[in-house]
Amino acid sequence: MSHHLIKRLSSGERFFHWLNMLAFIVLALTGLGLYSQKFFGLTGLFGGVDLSRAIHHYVGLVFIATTFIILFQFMRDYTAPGEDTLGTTIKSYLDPDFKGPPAGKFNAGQKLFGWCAFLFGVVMGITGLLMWFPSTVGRGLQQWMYFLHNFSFIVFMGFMMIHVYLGTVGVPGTWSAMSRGTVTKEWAKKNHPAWEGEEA
Amino acid sequence: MAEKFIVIDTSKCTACRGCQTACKQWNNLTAVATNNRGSYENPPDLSSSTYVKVLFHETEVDGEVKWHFGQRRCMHCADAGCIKACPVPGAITRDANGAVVINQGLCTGCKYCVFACPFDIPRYDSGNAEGAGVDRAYKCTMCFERQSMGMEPACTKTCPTGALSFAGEAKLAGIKAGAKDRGLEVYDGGPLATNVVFLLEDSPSAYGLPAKPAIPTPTYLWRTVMKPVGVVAFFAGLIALIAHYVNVGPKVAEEETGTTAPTGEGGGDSDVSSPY
Repeated sequence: MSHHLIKRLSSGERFFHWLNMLAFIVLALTGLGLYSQKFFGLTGLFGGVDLSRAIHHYVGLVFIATTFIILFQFMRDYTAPGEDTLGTTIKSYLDPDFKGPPAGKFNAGQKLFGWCAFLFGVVMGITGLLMWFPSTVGRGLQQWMYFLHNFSFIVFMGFMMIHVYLGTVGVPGTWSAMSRGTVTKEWAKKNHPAWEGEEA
Repeated sequence: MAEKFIVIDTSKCTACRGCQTACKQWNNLTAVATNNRGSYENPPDLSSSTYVKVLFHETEVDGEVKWHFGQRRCMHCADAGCIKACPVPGAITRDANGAVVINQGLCTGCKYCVFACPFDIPRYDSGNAEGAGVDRAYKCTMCFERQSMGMEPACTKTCPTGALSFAGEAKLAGIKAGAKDRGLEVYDGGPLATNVVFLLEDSPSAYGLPAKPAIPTPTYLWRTVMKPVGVVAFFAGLIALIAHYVNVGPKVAEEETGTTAPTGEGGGDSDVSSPY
């Protein structure tokens, strides 16, 4: 089988993606518990509200760090030219018969996702730090930090839902890139025809 | 119990600060060492040990000094920004008398209320006994515990000039009518419907009060708008993904369907049955 496999993600890329993912799951669960009385019960999962907040703060630092590391790891792929557009990418997901311009290592949708994950991740990071140390900026600006943290989470979560779906059941064969770092030749030909990956 | 109101008639205030002292005494709040900052106002700000502070607003009118004596204190809003912002069940509550109270035993020091207040009132501090090294939020309690024993708040009880009074709804109506006759502006928080009512000799801004008090826009967006938006967006997204899986189906690479199944032309529902 190994001759069918192509290297998609290096062990370093996978490591930081896993770290970022685990951090986000912890942040989402602790964050919801700290956001609203409706989700207050979630703080019990992490040993109470004080511990939830401490975990949220320090895991947040891990999330910020990995968000930047991941951007540096994929910067070249995010900026690589490609014939496909966001429109053709979305069409290819909605219409199985659609044959659009071939995508490179990342299609236009994945590039947009990469930038947005970084952007909204950083906004959550900056606003989060200011929620941790609220006396840093003025009162009027601080009020917007809470809203922006919340808003960025909702947008980020929306992108994540699509990301997780397409990375698992939506496009079968993708998950192995995250787990083993490899994909099949057939998968690459179907999803990223213009990408010349190395054999694993 | 019916709602109660603290009425502050600024025309009668002589800035004796008896209310400040009575408040500290009843609530067991310590005095704070301060420096002369060129004003009679003292201490410099509300804090975990100062729930009420008399304002000395000094202006010059026709070569003469004109004082405006106001107060900084919790206004006990019916529509309270702090309660909207608080993420801990029961940590900030509004009782039947209208007293909005922070329970420091439940407060976890998130400081959301500090920035959600239209009047910039709650202060956080880790110094007090309840805090024990962790931040807790503090503000005026409207002496809810005195009220529960049938007593009026310490500040209104002690006021020697009648500037501060404690009133029920019927008495408040009379006070409001009388104030209009005397040319005083009634300031009751407008849409926030505060249980602290000012009778002002001058514009609200002369007393450090917002002219149009309202829950801050970002706080409103954060607590009132984004909550349902987030929940709806989450479930709409979930339904959209399930709909995609069921109607369009997963994007299967050739190998899996390979020689046995038709390669994609089927589209639609036939793809759903393809193994992956």
